[in-house]
Amino acid sequence: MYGMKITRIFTALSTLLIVSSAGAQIGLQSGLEFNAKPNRCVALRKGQTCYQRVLLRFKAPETGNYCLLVEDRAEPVHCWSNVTFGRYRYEVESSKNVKFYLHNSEGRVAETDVSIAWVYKNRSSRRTSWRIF
Amino acid sequence: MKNVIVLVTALLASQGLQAADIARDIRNDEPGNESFLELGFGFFAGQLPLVGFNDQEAEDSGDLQLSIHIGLQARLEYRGFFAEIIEDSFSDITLGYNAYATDEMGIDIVATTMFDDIERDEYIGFESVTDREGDISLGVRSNHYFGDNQVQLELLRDVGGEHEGVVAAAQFGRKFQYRNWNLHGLAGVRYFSKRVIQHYFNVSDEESSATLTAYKADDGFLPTLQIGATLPINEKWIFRTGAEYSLLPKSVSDSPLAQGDDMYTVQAGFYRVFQSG
Repeated sequence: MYGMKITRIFTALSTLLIVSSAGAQIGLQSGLEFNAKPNRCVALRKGQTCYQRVLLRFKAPETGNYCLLVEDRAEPVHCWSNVTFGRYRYEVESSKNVKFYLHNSEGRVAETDVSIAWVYKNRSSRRTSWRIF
Repeated sequence: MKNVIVLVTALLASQGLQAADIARDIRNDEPGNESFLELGFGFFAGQLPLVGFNDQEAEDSGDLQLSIHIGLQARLEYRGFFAEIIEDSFSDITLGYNAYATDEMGIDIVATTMFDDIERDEYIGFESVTDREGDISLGVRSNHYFGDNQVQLELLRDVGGEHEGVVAAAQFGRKFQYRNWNLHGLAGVRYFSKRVIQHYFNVSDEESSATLTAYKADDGFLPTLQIGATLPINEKWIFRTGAEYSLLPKSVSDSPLAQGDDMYTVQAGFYRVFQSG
């Protein structure tokens, strides 16, 4: 009895954790799920390039042809034909947030992103002169 | 005087701290000028064959020491004045004033403690050796940045009146980034004038015994190599590891107060980062 309750709590917590670590998605088409996991990449110092392998997943309500695009790149990263779901591993290498878009024959149907964060967020500003107090 | 410095540093630390020792800059991919506090825990392994410096009896001195340690490094800067405690640095606590800074270089006036009080009379065979007071040195430190490389020069003189010796150091560091790992290498040499080494490693005629011969030291150089890596775990925690190897000056290793001619440390730990602003 208690075991089942604990299992349910763990399941709920795990779901919450999974949802919170997946990229916030903007579904432009009803019923379509599209996210990145993990959705955050952390480098040491603000401005550094951050490296993170992310898993991009989508699940569509109807079969179709879909393509994955990354912001600032004209060509699709990957395309699927006649599917309702797809997954793709992408190597993030960026010093700014990376946006991903899911397109079908009608255009953009969803988007998600991976945010870049740093431990040390302040860049020092150095002066250019002598200082006497 | 030393107590005053400790008190002032503690007060500054309580407000949130900052860094610019090369050991910090090169590891953290940034020239100083920020307030931070890193507090963590980890393991330490090392060998320091100097009785009085290592909490070991002479027969064990030089054996590998292993420990779990609480780590702290921090820096606070306010209007050019700063206080810093950097774990990988030769100095314990440094107070200073940043007199000049550009993107290419910085010049600091610093007051620092390099050696603590050394008490050897509680160790077997060293009962006759008198205590040596720690030093307080005043001097200048300059940092020079060339892309991913950094050079630090230091010139310090004891002003606490304990030995009035001079210490000069030149260190070269290079940093790399491999994926989210921040790697660095540091090579340097530290010169200690005769007065410094004599203060800590001489054995006077009065201190000498059947097992401890009298010894008068000369000046010497301490070459050091250091490598390290820092990995962010998340926005608040980092993993830090490093190793350091130094060859003791011959004038130190020849002293009957020394039990070896080199020293090394290896450490790794997890640190919580606090940063102002």
